[in-house]
Amino acid sequence: MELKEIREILKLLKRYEIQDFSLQRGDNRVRIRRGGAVVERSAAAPASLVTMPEPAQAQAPQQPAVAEPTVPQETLSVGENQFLVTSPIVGTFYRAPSPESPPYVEVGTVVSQGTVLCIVEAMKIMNEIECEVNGKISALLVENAQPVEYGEPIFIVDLA
Amino acid sequence: MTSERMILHHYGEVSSTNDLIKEMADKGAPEWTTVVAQSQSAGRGRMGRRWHSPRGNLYLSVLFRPEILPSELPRMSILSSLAVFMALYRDKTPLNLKWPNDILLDGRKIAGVLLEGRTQGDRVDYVVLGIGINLKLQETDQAGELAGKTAAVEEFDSLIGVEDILDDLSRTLQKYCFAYRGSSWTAARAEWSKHAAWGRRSMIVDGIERVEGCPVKLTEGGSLILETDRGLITVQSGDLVEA
Repeated sequence: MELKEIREILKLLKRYEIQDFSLQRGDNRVRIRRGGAVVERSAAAPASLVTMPEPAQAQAPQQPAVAEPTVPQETLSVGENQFLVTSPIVGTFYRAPSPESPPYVEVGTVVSQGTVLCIVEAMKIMNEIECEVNGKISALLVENAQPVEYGEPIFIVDLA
Repeated sequence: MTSERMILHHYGEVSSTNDLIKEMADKGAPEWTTVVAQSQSAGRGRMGRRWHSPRGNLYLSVLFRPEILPSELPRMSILSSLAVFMALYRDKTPLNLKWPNDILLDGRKIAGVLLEGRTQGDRVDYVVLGIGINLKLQETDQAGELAGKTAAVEEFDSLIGVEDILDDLSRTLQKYCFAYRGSSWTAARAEWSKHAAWGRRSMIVDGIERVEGCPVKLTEGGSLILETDRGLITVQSGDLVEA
């Protein structure tokens, strides 16, 4: 199963607050349980482990309806020769410096330490995220102009 | 020329003071390196939007290398707008702040801030603070989409010059832009809140999403709490416009 597909599934589970989900396709099986449970994935391909956080619900009594940003519990394991780039801040993910500009990187782009990969904007700070390693972008995990949480995986880099 | 700590580089016209400072930052320029320009041919606002930059106003960018975590960067938005506000503020002048970093005179924009950060992992390499201050009302501000939306310093202080404002900015940037933690952050947040326009029915517009409500206060991190029909929500990004 492609990462892109898993990403789409995660998004739908979040949107509809589905607690438990499983899918079998031939020898591939994916099971996702929300609330910290580990996702099982059995397949010939290397396994990925994903957990989904509960929707934010614990709120301070003095601010009954305000949900402060929380650190997500989602984790995504990658292979030994891969590096996971995560968002260092809560904000909005942008692939390009402006709507008219081409994206900083695409899947397949060769990157090195210091290459700007994307912008995460928070409170009108346009924060350029630099790559920490040398390699090639192998997966893009977030769509343009979507919100990202602190620590949320945004790119997978195949290490050089 | 210096304005206390600022290391000033004066230019006539540049493409964008932020772009120039970012080039300098990549080559290792020190903190407080400052580019001041008389006009910008490609002045930018948020997400590459054009910032109209004719001669007669003040355009500058300042380089900071704060020892701050990326997750604390949004605080710089509050702190830098407070610094610009305090540099312009005079008693009884109807200046106020609009979340997260606009400075308004009677509801019209008099100054704006564009912050660009560069981070690698959990390390902040630098932060560029771009500031545009309208000194004089321009003919071009009176027509088209800017009509009635812009204000200028000359409306409340016709004698102040660029050098005076740079001196004031140097002092206020020094005072507020490093107040990102502890009691100094708490005090700066309170100061920002004191000068903000609260309670006006507003809309947050973020791409195609729109949420209507009244801004009520800042969170500990500087995000905006909006009171909506569905209750209180926390806003991280977007444009705040009057409903």
